[in-house]
Amino acid sequence: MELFKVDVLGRDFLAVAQELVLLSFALGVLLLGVILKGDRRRYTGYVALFGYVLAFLPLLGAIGRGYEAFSGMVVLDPFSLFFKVLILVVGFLVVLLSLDYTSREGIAFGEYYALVLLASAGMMLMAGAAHLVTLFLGLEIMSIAIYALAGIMREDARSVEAAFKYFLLGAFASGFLLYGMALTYASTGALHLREIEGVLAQKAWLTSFPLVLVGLGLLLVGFGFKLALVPFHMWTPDVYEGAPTSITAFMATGVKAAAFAGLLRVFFTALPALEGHWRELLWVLAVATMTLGNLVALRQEDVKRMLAYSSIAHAGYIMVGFVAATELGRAAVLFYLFAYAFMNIGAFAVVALLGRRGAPNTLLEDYAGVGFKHPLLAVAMAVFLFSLAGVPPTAGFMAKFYVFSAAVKAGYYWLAVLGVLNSAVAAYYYLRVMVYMYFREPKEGLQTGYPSFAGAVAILIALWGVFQLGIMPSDFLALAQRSVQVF
Amino acid sequence: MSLGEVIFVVICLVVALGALGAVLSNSLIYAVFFLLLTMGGIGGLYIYLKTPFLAMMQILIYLGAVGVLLIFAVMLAGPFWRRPKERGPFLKGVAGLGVSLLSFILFWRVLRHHPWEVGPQGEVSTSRIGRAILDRYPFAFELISLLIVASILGAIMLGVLSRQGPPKAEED
Amino acid sequence: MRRWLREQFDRYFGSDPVRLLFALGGLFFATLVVLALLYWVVGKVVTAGLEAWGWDLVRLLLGLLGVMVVVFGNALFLVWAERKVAGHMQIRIGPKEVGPYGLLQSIADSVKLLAKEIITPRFVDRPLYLLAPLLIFVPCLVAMVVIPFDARLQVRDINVGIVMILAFSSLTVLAIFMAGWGSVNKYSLIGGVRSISQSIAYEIPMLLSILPVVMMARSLSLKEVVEAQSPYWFVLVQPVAFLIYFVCAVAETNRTPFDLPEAESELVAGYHTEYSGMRFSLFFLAEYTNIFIVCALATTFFLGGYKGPVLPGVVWFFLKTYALIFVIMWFRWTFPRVRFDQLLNFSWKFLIPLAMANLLVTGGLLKL
Repeated sequence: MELFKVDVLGRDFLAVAQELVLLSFALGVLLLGVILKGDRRRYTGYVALFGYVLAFLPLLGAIGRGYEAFSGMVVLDPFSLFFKVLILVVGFLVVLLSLDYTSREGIAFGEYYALVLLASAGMMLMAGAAHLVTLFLGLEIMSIAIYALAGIMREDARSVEAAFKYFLLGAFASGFLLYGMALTYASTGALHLREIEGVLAQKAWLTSFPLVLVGLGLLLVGFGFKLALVPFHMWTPDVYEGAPTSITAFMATGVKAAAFAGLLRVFFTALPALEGHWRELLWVLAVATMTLGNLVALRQEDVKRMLAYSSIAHAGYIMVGFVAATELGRAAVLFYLFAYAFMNIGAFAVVALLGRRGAPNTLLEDYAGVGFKHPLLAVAMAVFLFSLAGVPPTAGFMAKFYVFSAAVKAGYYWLAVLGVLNSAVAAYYYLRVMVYMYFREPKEGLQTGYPSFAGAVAILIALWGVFQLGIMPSDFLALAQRSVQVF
Repeated sequence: MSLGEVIFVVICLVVALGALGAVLSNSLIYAVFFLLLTMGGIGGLYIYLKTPFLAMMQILIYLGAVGVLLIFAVMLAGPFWRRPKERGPFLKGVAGLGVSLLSFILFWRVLRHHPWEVGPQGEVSTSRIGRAILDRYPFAFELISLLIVASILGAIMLGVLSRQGPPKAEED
Repeated sequence: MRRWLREQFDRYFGSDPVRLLFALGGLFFATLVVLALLYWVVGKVVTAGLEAWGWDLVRLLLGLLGVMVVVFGNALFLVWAERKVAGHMQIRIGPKEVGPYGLLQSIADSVKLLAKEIITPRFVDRPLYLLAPLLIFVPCLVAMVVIPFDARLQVRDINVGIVMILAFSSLTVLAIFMAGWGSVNKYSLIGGVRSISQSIAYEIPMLLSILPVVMMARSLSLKEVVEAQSPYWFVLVQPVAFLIYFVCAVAETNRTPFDLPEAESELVAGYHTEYSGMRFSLFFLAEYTNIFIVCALATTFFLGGYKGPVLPGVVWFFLKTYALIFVIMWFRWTFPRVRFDQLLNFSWKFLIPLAMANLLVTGGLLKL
């Protein structure tokens, strides 16, 4: 009897090659952090950055392939590749943004970057999961790393609060997710996503038994927490506000992308037979998420909190594409996630660069007159905010356009109308920041800004992304469409 | 009813009792011990599922490791001994009861009406579990080690780094 | 209601030694019967269909009775032996008045303990305080059930016996903690805390040192482990594992030089400071039983168990076991107590890596 059915040199390892690169760099960075002393520990960040660049390499061998590896635990297909690239880009930008931010806040340890790399690896595993076990393990690796990262500024009470809140609620959500998986297994007898689909297709009568539906609901709760959909969003503002800004950017883009990857995978690969059930449910969730996120964001006086609520609202927009459930809808989800990653990381990068040690300067008042003190940063911020609001010719506009047109084409007129109305409301609070930046007198004696070359590079890349996806979106949309053809 | 069934019912009662005690007791240390009672009872249920190895692992991990860890946490958390009883508002209790009743009825109906299939018979031997881990799930097995690395790293980050004191203030 | 319960309690568990003896005896036998039933069902399921139900029950009850005899006999012997060994090591004679060579000394001791007043301090956390001495016995009894005293002299051969012993031995920590916490006494609590961190630290290398044995015997059943040592004992091929196991065993039983949980010069008596009379002697009994068990396991795992020439197996088994116990007593009068940081560092920084390396080498060699 053959013990290890792993093909040692070939395809199995190619399927997780990117994760392996990130992991080896995570361990390397950890060791380096121990060897280097004092201020020199910030060099670990550059090593981590190199790791992200290197992790792009295995892509070359993986493009266009589609197979399952490790006896069906992970899958390498265009869909997982798309998300892996997205996660790598997010990780790259976050590390770039962290380089000076962490030295400023005194958290530039090897462990910081090791955890970021580990979290990225977990996200990639979620995107490539073909099995509920892999999905859950990927989610947990990501979550645990992020819990620790959220609380990394131990002297800051808000950071500790953020970590604690996120951890407790996240553990609960993991419990829900696991329970949902258990019930799905109990009812179908399968953990492999395609097998679940097969069982549900074969025994159609199963879909009307409530056990499957309870499992579905619990899965949705678990994912809803990571996505911050509305009834499960309570943790978001406090955690986003308290966590270090670089990590907030990571949470808002990376975690969301990975959770959406998992959700798409589970719902479209394993549970398409239940589509009739979950579409209506997600419709309601999408509307509630958009509306509540936008309405509460209107009243926020803190830019990080405002961006937190805005990220809730954006999850709602993305759900619109999900509800449409057509190929265009799914492609729109992927497109939106990529566009959102660029504009959101950009916005958070500006927020990070405007702060100083001990004075994060995230209140709206602190932004008064920034347009004249830091003209370049302010222009970048304006672009990102325009993009978040959905103004052409930015990525945000095209993303919203695709999502809403997918909804219209699928016959969800009301959903599209509500989405557009919401975008109109959202413009108010994004523009409010700009009003403060350009039309208010700067506060006396307030020092803002922290020079960072790496941060500037991150902002430039994000700017490029926002315009690239905004002006020439069709190639990218075609790529997204090819990626979702696996379903 | 054979003796085996009687003992099965007793174990189920122990599990339920432990769960209730863990939720309702007003002292943290009692809650922990009631929780451990539940965990031990679940170990007993595994024996009825013919997996003695898992039963022992349940006891080893949940009573030996997790239980001890919980107790450690309780001790570090502070003096909870004979804490005054907290009385929440009446409505809270009613709401809690309502939710539990509702979910009980839901699960009762769901489990009652599901067309269960009888699984494979016979004892699940240790070597079968070992083969499952190394044959079908080696990847998941390795991922768990990764999860542990992340957890340890996180714990070190939050625990050890805080002892170093605040870093030096920035100079302008 | 509370008061009535208290009165009833004092009535049966009060200071009158005779009543107390009866009450404790009853409690003991009740525990015994419950455990017997539990074992019966466990065994029934595990080796289903092997034997008829009725015979099984009789066999188990007999086995448990035998176990109780071993537990008490061992404790009586060890109390005497410890004092005698200590005496001779300090060039004294030790007990000599009661019986020949003072052999009946421990009986006199136990009568004294039984007759002592049982004091329950007013502010203790009653349920925990009372449960602890009972709970501390569970792992001892479970371990006794699966130990093969001879090829056929074993209460029950369970196919996951090793895991079972390890699983239940972790309950000792909980009982010790119950005693430490329930006593509401700072010395008890510190003793409990020390005991927990110590057993967490030493349980890991202990497990890791038993694993090579399991790998070589290819079984988790204790009997098959003994049977696998037919040409040579495992101590010859696994000397490192044996040493690690033995060190951990000393630490797990809280014996010198690792007796920090009950260090009398620092903590009065550690976690059982607040216990008196029979309750105290239960802790005492559990401690001696634990020493016996860890040495019996060392014999089983590494020294060929009941295997030996000429003499019957059970004699060999007890000879080897008591030889190891003698070594542990020898330690007590040889080594000074370690400091707490030394204790933990020794386990985490030396024993665990060593045990890991040993496991790795064993695995590699077995594959070759």
